[in-house]
Amino acid sequence: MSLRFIAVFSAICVLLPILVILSFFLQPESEIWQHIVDILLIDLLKNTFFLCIGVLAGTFVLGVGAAWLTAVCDFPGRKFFNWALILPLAVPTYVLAFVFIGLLDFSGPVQTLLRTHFFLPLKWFPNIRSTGGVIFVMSLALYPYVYLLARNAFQTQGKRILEVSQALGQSRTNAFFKAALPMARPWIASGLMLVLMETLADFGAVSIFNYDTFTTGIYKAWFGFFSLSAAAQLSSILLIFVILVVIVEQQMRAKMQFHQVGKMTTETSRIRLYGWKKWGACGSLSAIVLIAFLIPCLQLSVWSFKSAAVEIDSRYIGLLVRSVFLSLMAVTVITGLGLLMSYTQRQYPDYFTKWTIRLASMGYALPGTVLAVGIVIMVNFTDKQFIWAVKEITGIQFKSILNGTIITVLFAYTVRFLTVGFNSINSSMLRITKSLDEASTLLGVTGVKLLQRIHIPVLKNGLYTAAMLVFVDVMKEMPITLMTRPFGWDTLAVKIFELTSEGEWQRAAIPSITLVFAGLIPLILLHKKSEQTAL
Amino acid sequence: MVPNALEVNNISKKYNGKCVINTFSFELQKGYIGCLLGESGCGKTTILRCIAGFEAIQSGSIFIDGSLVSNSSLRIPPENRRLGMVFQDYALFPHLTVRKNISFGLENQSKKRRNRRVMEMLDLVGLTNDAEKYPHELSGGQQQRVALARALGPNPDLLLMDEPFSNLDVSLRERLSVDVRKILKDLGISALLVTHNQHEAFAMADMIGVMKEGQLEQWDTAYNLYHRPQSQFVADFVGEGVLVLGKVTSDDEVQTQLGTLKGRFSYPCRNGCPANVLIRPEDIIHDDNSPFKAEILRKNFRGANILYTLRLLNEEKILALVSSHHNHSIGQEIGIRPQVDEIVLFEA
Repeated sequence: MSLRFIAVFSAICVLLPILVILSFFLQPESEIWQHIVDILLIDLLKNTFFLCIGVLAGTFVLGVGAAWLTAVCDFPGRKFFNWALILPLAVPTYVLAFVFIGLLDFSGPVQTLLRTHFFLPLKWFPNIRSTGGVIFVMSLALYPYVYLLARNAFQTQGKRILEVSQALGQSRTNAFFKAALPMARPWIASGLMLVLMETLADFGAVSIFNYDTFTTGIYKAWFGFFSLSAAAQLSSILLIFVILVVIVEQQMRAKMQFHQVGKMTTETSRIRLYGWKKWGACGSLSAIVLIAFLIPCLQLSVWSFKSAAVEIDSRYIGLLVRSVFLSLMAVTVITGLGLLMSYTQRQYPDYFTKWTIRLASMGYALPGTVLAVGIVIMVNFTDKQFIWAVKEITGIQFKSILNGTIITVLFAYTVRFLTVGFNSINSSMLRITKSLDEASTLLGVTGVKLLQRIHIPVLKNGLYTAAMLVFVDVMKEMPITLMTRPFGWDTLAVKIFELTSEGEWQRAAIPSITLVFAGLIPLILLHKKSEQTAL
Repeated sequence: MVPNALEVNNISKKYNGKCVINTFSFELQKGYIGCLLGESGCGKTTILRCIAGFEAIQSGSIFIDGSLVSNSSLRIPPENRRLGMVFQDYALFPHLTVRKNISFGLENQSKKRRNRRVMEMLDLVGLTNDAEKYPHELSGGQQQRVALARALGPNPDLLLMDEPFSNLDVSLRERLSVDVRKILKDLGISALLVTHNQHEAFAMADMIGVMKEGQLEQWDTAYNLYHRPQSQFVADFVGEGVLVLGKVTSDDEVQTQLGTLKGRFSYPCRNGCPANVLIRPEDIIHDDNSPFKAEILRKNFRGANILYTLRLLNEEKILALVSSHHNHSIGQEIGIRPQVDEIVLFEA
């Protein structure tokens, strides 16, 4: 019983920040809030709206197009593109953002080259620091979500649907638009909802572009106007949007189960492309990989080489050590809690436990800025009680106990990334069926031995995956760390934010490339895994 | 006297006040294969789990090999019952190879003996070449055989099998059930399986118990279940056939729409009583000279035979299994004649 109590209690703790934020939706308005409503709110809404529409359109075209080509068609380099197209996931959005500004700005290498070598008048050159620029960068960073899900949909049903449609007298083009695309709708929509969550949550990229959205509004209300309550009120509006997106996403996921048709049979059943189509497919996918991954990485490497002598010093080591330390701490807490919850769910399959755990693993949808606000409000409140209690008992007056400590940051990470950890642990846990325990019991292996010989080996992979994913996610995380870290606890991501807000692209390159390397680890493992399952 | 491999005496079990097993009794002799047959949800798996010791019983007692393992106050833990079990989902350990799966229960033996036993088991189920594979690399039938080898490894007194063939396709199911029976018989192992498939039960078991809602309707050989069902439920559940209405006119005669049937009654019936008479498809002979005519409603071609569904004059329907040389069309009237030596009938 105590196991279940701990799990449910932790789940409720994880839910609290969300409830705290939501409660601000109904709070009386302050003066600063009035100011925000009068001056900023319309702009924030407008900016957020255009950004979302633009990024959705961009990721839809890139993601669905690339998925169709790699999943259903055959052309030179298909296998390479199949996995190369997910590489942009390794680059944090804010890194991609500053690299593109550095590349395409007036003083950047591209415009300089065109000006000095070709003497071209550059009036026509689009300004990268614009709405279009943010949309461009974020589409490139986020399309892999749509790509992965759409590819999965096309792989499981694409070819057969085409054959059915052709047998009914439709042309291939017609079949794509009339049958394959509509059937893949739940997958594509689910991918787009993930993109929408990331777009709403993004703080780093938009602040580098000086493009004001809700997340930057929240940050400014707190650190500019010093009004935590105004920040919370803005957060509550954003949170409501996010909840709507989550609901749609969940519905799409439920729909996917009903649309599942079956695996595509063989490699030979792909549609072979010829002539200009073949080279068109090759060329456009090369362009995506180049622009979204290779060129940014090249630029980062160039900057890194130039700045290596100055930048790789004890400060860099300090940043790296703190990033790794925080990530490892978060890994310990999250995998521990994930394991506990997963066991509890296995042991007590009742509705109450199931739903608490399910709600607790909704944190992945929370924008970091919103979460930070909610947690700091919570921590301030508990601190007040603690300080009062300590003063009553011992007479010592503390200024703060939890606030500004590592516990706050870790708590925030846990809320945000528990889903990631829990899901991969739980998918291993599902493999340990009740009958596995019983089979082992009948063979005389019970108790601790059962854990040693069955549970731990089977869970091992899930635990590794969970640890690795959480580690990388925490390494890349920016707004939570920025807003809740203890004094002096700068990490790689925080440093990138500080340097880029002063336009120091080159100096930000080494921390950035470190994060890209970290981000590549899970992608390589994912690739290996998918090769094992032969698809 | 050799004790029975398994004795189940009047066991009962309730879940939330609802009776799932009700005063259930049967015995299985040593070296025999028993089978509990019934619809899903009739409690057959629960009985298996009670015998294995995963579930407690509220009354009655269970003896394995002559020793008491369960009653209302005692429950010997499953690992001390010297049982093997094949699970419906096989429950193979996904992280272990076939060899290690089989040797899993043999840890207390010396390494040499263990290896020899594993080789024996691999040989027995014909998987010597797949010893180093992992379960996910095997086909369903192979996984099933690994599960069997693993259960037999520690040389149990009794083998339990929960729907052992339900995850396999039909053709494989038949072949494997014959194979498994041969393996068990060669080893002289006593076994109890549960299934909802009567072909499986007939192919595998020496003794079959037909279950209905937690109760045992009849514990008997396959022949007796088919030809001497003790209740209308069993008559209906086992094999094909229909019950037609009749009236008992003497102690070896009953009057039906097919004329007066004369033969030994399986169970005595009072004179003058209305009764339901079991007519199996093979009891009906196609005979153009017969005075009894019936209209063909449906036909089901089965290769050597055709199963006709016929309508008698009073709208009663019967089944007739006729050699497929006699190919008639639907709607046609054909002559039929009943041929029964022993009459199964139940007082209506």
